[in-house]
Amino acid sequence: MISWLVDALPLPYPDAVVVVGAALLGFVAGALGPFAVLRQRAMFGDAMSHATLPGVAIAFLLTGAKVPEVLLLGAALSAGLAALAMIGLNRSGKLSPDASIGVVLSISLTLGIVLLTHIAGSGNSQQAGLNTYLLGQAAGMVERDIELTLLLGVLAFACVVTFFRLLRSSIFDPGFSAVAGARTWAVDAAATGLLALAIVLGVRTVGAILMVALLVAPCVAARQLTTRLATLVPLAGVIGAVAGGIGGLASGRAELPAGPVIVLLATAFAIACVLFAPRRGVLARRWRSGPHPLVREKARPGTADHSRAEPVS
Amino acid sequence: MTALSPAALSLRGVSASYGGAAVLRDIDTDIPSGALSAVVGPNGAGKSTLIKAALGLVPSSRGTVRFLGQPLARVRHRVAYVPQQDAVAKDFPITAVQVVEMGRYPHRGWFRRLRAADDEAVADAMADAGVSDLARMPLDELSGGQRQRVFLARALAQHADVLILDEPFTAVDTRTEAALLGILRGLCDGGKSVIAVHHDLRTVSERFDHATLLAGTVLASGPAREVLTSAHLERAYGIPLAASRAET
Repeated sequence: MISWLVDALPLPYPDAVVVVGAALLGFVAGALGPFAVLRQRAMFGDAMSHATLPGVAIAFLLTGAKVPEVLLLGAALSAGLAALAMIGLNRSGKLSPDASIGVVLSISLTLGIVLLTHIAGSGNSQQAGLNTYLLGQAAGMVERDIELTLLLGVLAFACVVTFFRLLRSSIFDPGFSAVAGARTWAVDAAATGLLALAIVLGVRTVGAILMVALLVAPCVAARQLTTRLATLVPLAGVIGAVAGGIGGLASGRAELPAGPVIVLLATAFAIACVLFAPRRGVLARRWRSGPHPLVREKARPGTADHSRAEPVS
Repeated sequence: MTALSPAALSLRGVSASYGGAAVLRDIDTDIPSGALSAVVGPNGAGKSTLIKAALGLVPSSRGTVRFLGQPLARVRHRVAYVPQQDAVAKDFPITAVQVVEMGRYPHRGWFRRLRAADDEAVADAMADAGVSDLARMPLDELSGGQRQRVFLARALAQHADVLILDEPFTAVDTRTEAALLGILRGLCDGGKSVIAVHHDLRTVSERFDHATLLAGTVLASGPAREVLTSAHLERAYGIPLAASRAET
């Protein structure tokens, strides 16, 4: 199915692989983003994303080879450790949530950069290209990458569809849902797992530093266009897919890192939606609310006797 | 309120703490069924903590809790909870009718489809709470009073026997407060039990049947007018306070 899709695109084969792969990954990240953003865990996700760097580096140091699956496993493990560290710091009552995020994020980035610099200077011939995990690279994607993204993406999406009611209720109103029998810790664990999955899938293409933007921006854009979570999730996925596909291709052609291009596109889309969305956009609200209420009150004939004697200029 | 019917909520030796600091100590009290009951007390008295601990929402809490004589796990569908507005996600993409439909989940579970009977319960609840015309509105476009009506409709749709509301009248105008109180009173007349955390002592002494006065521990509990006496309130609030003027 993937080769059929890749062949169907009117593009040279390597470009077509990049477009399909980056679009698929954009869809997964966009669709899973709301489950982080609406739980107010976007920065938590950012720290997890930064924490993939030391995991990738250590996985490479241990195996001495650049096998994508192994590096992604390393990324997943260290992102998970970072999540546990943040929860632990916070639970122990020593640090507030934002401080624990700040500590883990900066330590992870520091450790990642130290390890990557060490690897770059080690003279290992295999290491070339490992630093693309910082800012991302779409070129060089192969069909096997797409298959992995598709497999994990379908699993994640099936999980979201199956547990949709539980996820929506627990994020919206955790107290009510717990009284109704939801296990809050399980929902938290599942939502954090989905977040980790989106981050790990995207980190090589979008980069550890920017990955969170591909989770947040499509959600912000889609939020302006809908008032239902069941619409928000696929819509954010489509916006992420468009940004991923176009950004992945354009970055390759312009010889720019993929992450910034994809993220700029997704952010431009989010800004456009915040401004111009038909019902919830800033302009639509401004247009609907009309002149200032006080001015309107005075301008309405007959509300006060002096209104006609002293017209509001 | 016969002597035989079990209490709507019964607490025995309940303690709770946040971050190591004890908020509630050894609470022993019964809140009767079929009554409009208030939990009152000064800020930090543990009013919200009391109902959250009873509902199993405070991990550190200890003690024995019974709803209608049963542990919560056996009667989840008979207990409806309306949390404080702060505890609900802001700017969440959800419509009013979707919120009310949540009231059917304790019956239908997290996976099964809602049936025609559920839709009917939802429609009736929205009509009773006066929010039928808001069904398709996004929740974040409603006023504070409209939101509170929607959350009350969710509790009504649940057809619960015990309703627990945490500060249901904040961000609500006096007219809506009177309307909501009227609905709650009607439920109690029909045999349901309502327990509300509330801080307006005048409303409590005038409109509620039962009151539990809290300040880390239960200072008094019983018929509202007997609980909200000057002597009790002075002990709870630490300042002389006439019951009739006691508004915070």
